[in-house]
Amino acid sequence: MIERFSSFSVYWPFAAGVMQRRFAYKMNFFLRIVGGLIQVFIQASLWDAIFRSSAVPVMRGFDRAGILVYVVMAWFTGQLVNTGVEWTVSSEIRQGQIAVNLIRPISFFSRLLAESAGNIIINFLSVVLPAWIALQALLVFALGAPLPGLDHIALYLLSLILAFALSFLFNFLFSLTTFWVTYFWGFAMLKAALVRLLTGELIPLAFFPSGWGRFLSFLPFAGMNATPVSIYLGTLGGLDALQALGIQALWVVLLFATVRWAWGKAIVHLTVMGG
Amino acid sequence: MLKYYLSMYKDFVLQYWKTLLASKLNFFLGLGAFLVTQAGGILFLVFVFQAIPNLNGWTLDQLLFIYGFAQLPRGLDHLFADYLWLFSNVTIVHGEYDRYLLRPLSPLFQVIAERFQGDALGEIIVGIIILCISIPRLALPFSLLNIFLFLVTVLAGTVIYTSIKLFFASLAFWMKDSFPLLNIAYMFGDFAKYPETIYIRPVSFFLSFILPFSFTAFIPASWFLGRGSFAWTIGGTVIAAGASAAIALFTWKAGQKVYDGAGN
Repeated sequence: MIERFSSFSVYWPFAAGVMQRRFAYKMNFFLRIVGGLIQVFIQASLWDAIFRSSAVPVMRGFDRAGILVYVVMAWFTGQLVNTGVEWTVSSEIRQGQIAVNLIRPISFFSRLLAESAGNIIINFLSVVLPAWIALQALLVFALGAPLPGLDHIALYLLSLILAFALSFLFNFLFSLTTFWVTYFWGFAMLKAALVRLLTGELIPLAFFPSGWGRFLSFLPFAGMNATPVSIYLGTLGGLDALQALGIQALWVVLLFATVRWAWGKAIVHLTVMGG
Repeated sequence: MLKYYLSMYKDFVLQYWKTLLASKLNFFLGLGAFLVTQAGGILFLVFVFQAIPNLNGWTLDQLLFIYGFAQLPRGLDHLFADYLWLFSNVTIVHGEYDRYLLRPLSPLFQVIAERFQGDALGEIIVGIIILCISIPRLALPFSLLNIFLFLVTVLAGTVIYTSIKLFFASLAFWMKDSFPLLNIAYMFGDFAKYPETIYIRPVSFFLSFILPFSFTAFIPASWFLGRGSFAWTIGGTVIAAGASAAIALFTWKAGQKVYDGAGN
């Protein structure tokens, strides 16, 4: 499955198909955005009250505008990293479509990767980019904050690609639990709640008790959200940023190897079940 | 009549316990999912309070009390009225509603009794744990009156949650699939876990008078914390519950009249 990274022309239609589907089901799309905005609004209100209650203007390296950017960028990053691949794989395993999809002369893994890329492109163009521009306008005109440097944006994008790879591999791996867990919905909710915590999407790692935050920064989860967002904000800079990118890359390699191994095991399991 | 319905409901729940025993792993996964989701919000407060003495004049223990209170109506509604989610997007579309009309039981009762959602115990457990931690630390006075008012407001909060869900689920009679609206409305419930005073005014107005989620947690909880008048906190909560229930039941009844069958 992984060996055959075939040409663009074979897999592009899958990405395009996902994009068309997203436009066909506008309501679901709209829901995701409204849900995200509500969460961002609650987080931003909380942080605003926290900073108004604080005696000092800077807490754990964040000021009021900085934490607002963190909350919004963490959400953007989540939109550009989580593709829901686990739901696709789980439903294909559950409903048996996986059998047909394995017979097709294309790689199962690459097809999913293409579909995920389609999701990301749609999220980027229709949600993240316009919202990012609006955020910048707000920051520059209302708060007088400077525009982020091009070097930060470039490093962010690099880190974002690694974060996407990490999230894709981790969720693909997670979806294989469908072979054993019947209540995938509950298990996926549990995973999502834990991941939101461990990736720093809910709380910046700097606010975890000292030790914990440091420990979490070495796990693959930090690389799925906290690392790119901190690079964007500049709280991770210089050698620290390079180290964080290195940790991300290392985990991508490790997870990739694990996926290959686990997929081999799972496929055998599938054959047994299919008879 | 009520006795008949209660005994029917008991039979439905017993059926549920059988499926639960068939797969304990699934039960703990669902419970764990909601437990960890809510625990994340608590960790947030605990971590942040290492850096600040109070939030908008609220101490950590007070915030935990509000957060814990919020879990009970949310969890109880989730436990008993979870099937309204399926009603909003499956029942009408698949023509399943006709089935309820054939039985000599209230269709609304049948829809509610369709599911007893054990996942909700995750929220209820989190709520009870942090109430048990925060109440002694706040030294809240235990009196029969307070216990009675606590039970009344938790119940009223549950009624508000279920009524909001029922209202949006009932729209399926007209729209066939009202799930997206129900989903968005339900998301506003997340606001109630924190003091309303941290939000901008239009939002706190909306949460008190349009989708009254503030009455499911912050407003009644603040009475036990010694803030707010009896009339607004306790009285308001009961009135909000009554008004929400009336509007939801009216909408449900009106929807039933519009319903013209799945055809054949």
